Amino acid sequence: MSEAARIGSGRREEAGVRRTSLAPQTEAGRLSHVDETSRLVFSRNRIGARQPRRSLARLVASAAAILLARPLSAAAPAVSPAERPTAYEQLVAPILRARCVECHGEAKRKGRLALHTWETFAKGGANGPAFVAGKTAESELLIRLKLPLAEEDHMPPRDEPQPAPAELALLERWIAAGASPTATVESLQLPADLIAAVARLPASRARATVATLDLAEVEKLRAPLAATVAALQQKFPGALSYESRSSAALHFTAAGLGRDFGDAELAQLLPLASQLVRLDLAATAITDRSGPVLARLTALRVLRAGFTAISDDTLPALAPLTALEAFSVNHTAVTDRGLAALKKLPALRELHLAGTAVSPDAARKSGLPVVASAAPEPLSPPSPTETPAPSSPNR
Amino acid sequence: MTPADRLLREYEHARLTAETRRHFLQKCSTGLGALFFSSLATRTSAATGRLGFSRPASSPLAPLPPQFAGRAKRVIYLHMAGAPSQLELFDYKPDLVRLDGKDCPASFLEGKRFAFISGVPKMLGPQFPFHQAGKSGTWMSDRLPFLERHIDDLAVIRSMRTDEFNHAPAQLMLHTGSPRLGAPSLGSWVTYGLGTENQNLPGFIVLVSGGKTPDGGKPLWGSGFLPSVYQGVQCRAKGDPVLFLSNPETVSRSERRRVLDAIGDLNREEHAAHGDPETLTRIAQYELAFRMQVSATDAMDLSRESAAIHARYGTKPGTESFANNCLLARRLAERGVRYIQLYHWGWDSHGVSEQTSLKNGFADLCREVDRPIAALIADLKERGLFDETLIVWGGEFGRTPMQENRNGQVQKWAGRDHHPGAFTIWLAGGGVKGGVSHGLTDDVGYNIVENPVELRDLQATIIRLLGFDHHYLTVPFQGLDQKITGVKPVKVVDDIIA
Repeated sequence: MSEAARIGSGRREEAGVRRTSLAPQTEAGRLSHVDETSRLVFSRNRIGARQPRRSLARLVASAAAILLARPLSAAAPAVSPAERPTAYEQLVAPILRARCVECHGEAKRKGRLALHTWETFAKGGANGPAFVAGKTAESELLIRLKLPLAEEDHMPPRDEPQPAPAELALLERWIAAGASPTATVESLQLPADLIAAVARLPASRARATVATLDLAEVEKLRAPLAATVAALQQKFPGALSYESRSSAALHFTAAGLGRDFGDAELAQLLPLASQLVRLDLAATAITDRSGPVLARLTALRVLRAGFTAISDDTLPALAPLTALEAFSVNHTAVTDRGLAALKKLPALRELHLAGTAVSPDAARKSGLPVVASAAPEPLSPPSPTETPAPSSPNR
Repeated sequence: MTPADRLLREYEHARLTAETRRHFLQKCSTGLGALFFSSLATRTSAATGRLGFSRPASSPLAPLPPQFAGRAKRVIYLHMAGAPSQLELFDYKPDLVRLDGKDCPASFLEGKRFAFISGVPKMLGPQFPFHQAGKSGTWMSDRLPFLERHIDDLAVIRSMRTDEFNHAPAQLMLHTGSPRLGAPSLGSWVTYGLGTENQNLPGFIVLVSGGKTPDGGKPLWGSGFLPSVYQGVQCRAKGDPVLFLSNPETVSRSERRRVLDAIGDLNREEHAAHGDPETLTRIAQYELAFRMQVSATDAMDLSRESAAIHARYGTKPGTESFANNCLLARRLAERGVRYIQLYHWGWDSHGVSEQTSLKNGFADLCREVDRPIAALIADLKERGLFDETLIVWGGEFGRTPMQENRNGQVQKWAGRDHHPGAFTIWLAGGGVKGGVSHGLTDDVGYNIVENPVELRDLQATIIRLLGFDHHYLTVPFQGLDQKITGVKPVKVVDDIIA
């Protein structure tokens, strides 16, 4: 037996046994969650496409419709009131399935708590109810989830996968809003950033994504633009590809084309507008003449335009890019004057302005999510900090 | 025999070797041949099903989407060849201060083999002061003050372990998943899986510094059983970046074009006749080399960078240095190169000379790499590339908490022997959770007590960040769907994924 194993606590060993005996269920539990998570991400990419049948995807589309009123959701068909998703089914249950039901479910009811159905969840366990509607501070579920990892009572056990902050936030919202099994997703009034965070939940569940991949479905989504995509792939070798095998979203990078790629070439990408989510134009020959073209690429989430002739004049044209999350105009002629136009971008969370004339002061005042430009490394190394008395190394 | 005769004989020989059982069977349209073909057809369709990975052989470097949206689009791997001491950089062991100079407990030595330690060695305390850095309070020594500014972007894994305690097999194991020759390197797998965005540069580029090629040699960036188009291309920091890339003096570019067209026609005929994927590789590589005559020179020309950038990295164009290679790595990343592998030799701090002593040679190396790595991170951040570029730093194994006592002699210099049982690597950038420390070693840094991470776990994690499940990044070879992580259980290090 290795030293590592010897040092492991009794609890850990017990956890190991439990894991082994329940392995198939674990997989099943995670699979369903993953399935939905992946579809969720997937659905963000299928702009203007038919709504998927499954849960979380619809959640995002409909919640986004209400909260963000983005073109993305405007294009989606309306969901009739009868089939409006309930927050419990769409949001809460998948999280519980993924994180809890392995031990608190049908097969194992540790602490006589079972979270796999609404009835058992509402009933609670040996320690009382799992939640108190409207009272987050009294809800055992949240208390346990938020305990420090080192605490014995922390759930899930520390060597198990832990919920993402967004999952926690969602549970909290739902309980705060009354923990109703029938409350709709809309009624929770989830902030846009939380929706975005859910959409970005860890890619760590890839396996199931691949396993549940419906290639025929993907093919259908890609079909309308397939011929255009193929032609452009011929024309710009290496530059255009789908975001993933499960997606119709497109990435275009001019990294290999450099100055051969200019305004005229960019205009050729217009037919892709509904599916182009990432566009890398850094160090290309594009100029402000491309403003109107960029304005129509409304699905863009990432736009890199550093080291180009783009100037302040183009920035107001970007207002329709409501999905834009990251924008780089580093090493361009952009100045303080241009910043105002960018405030209108609702999803922007990363703005790169290094090597521009934008003053740190104006950047700060703008309230824009400017990525701090690193101070140049000094020529001599910074003086080493004093060594504090060791408390607990490596923690 | 005239040269022409020799060439003819060589051609005949090549043609005959290319004639395999498969071709023989192909020619039999009934019986065995037909049977063989029906089985081949079944296998192919199974392999290209929704789970399996397959890539059309005719466009070996075209970008392919990953299985799911990846967090990183490319990798810069900074390999500190020779294996830096984790006990002088990231794995702080105050108890080792107390034990410094004491005899190593017998329990540490029982049943163990070391590269050089013999008899009973003395314990060796950390040679540099440690402190907690950044908001994350990550423990590190004072040797990497520039990197410290980015410490909250790093995920530090202190519980790496490997099976190998000699440099070459350990490096092979790290980069190819096997301590023996013949398996594709991680860079090859990644380029095979994702292709490359810049069709004018290789998808997998290797840059070497430190005055020595790493012990594992070129197989570290070999393509193994993958088509050779996926092998790493080593670029030099001085002179022509790739040898024999430029045209001979009397040959013009248009002449070269005509030669390549003619050779390409012949090769395509050859491929039609024999179906050897290596023929396609050859066509692709000739074409790539032709395009690289222009693009590689531009990508590798550091003189195009500003003085401010040179000051930040500490680069001097025209020399071979780790700093230059870091700046090159950034230039290549910008140009869409998929996998950029750096090797910097010299970290083998046995303490047999001033150069291999922790206080001297090791400290010099820290200074040499510290600023360029920090500059690389800062530069990528400024350009909006950091979030989509995965940076990995580390050696091939760790070093012992005991002072090396080669031949049972106490050495004049403080050094440490090879130790496969525990070492530290860090990751940063694309999809990595910053400010995280993962894994724990015991009080002297000898064994792992929490969250051990195998090399295959690291490989699977890197592949995961790029958008692949390692189970499904496979290639059929020798009757198996081969994958880099092999057949042992693998655990992706979810803790460090943002």
